[in-house]
Amino acid sequence: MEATITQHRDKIIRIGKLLYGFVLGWLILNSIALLIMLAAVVGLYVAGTSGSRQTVVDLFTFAELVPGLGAEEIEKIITWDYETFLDHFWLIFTLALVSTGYFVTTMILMLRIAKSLKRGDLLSKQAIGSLHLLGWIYVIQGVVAFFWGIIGQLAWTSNTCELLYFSFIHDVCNYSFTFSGSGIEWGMLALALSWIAKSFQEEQELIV
Amino acid sequence: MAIIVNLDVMLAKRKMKLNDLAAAVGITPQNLSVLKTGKAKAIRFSTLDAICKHLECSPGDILEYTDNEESD
Repeated sequence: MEATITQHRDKIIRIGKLLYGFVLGWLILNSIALLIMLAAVVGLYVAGTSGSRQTVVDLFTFAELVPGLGAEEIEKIITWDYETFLDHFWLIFTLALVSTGYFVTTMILMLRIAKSLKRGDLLSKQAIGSLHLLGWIYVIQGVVAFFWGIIGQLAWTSNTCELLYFSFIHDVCNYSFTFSGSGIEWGMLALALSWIAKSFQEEQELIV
Repeated sequence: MAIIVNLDVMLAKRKMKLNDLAAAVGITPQNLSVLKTGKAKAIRFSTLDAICKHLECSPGDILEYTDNEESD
């Protein structure tokens, strides 16, 4: 059905084009970054399991510069970090993979919304459906990330938690909405919008 | 609802098919059917104007008010 919000049509089209361009660029750039991240995770694991463990530790020891710490202390910390990483590799890899999937899915949904907006078709089934799905994804992600963070703070004090939560889940989730806090608020907003738009759509279908 | 749509009566009087009227008015047969069956929540003046023009009638011939609460 054609959008009937003719008064705001030009504004919707402009913002739709802007959003589409931004999201497309963001998707391409971050997909490359995420693929590099995945490759790095796998590479570090392969290096660690194929006898090059000390080479990796040496490489990071050389790169780290912490004021007040000598090379020996830094090496100890990096060794412990790397061992933790190797011990939890499959969990980290799964999380990295899920985060990549999550990011790509949300960006594609946003692209679908932006595509409808730039056509000036706010009430398309594609846009409303994507907005609704996006809402649920953000609410669930927000709640999971929130409790994950709390559990992490209370139960774990190791770098593993930092690595798992902050390095992967939280950062990657925030890529989706650059200025987003937890994601819960965005999820609720998207849900509310989808319901408003849906009722409006149904109402419009019965006006002849 | 207390408003009754007599579009089917007018179509029969004019011996016109729903699809032909829809084409003449410029709306989809589905939308016109929504109006005819009394499911419509609102009707645009432009639609009403076009229907009246093609059926050569007035809005009162198409829409009728009945003071019947149970018909809602």
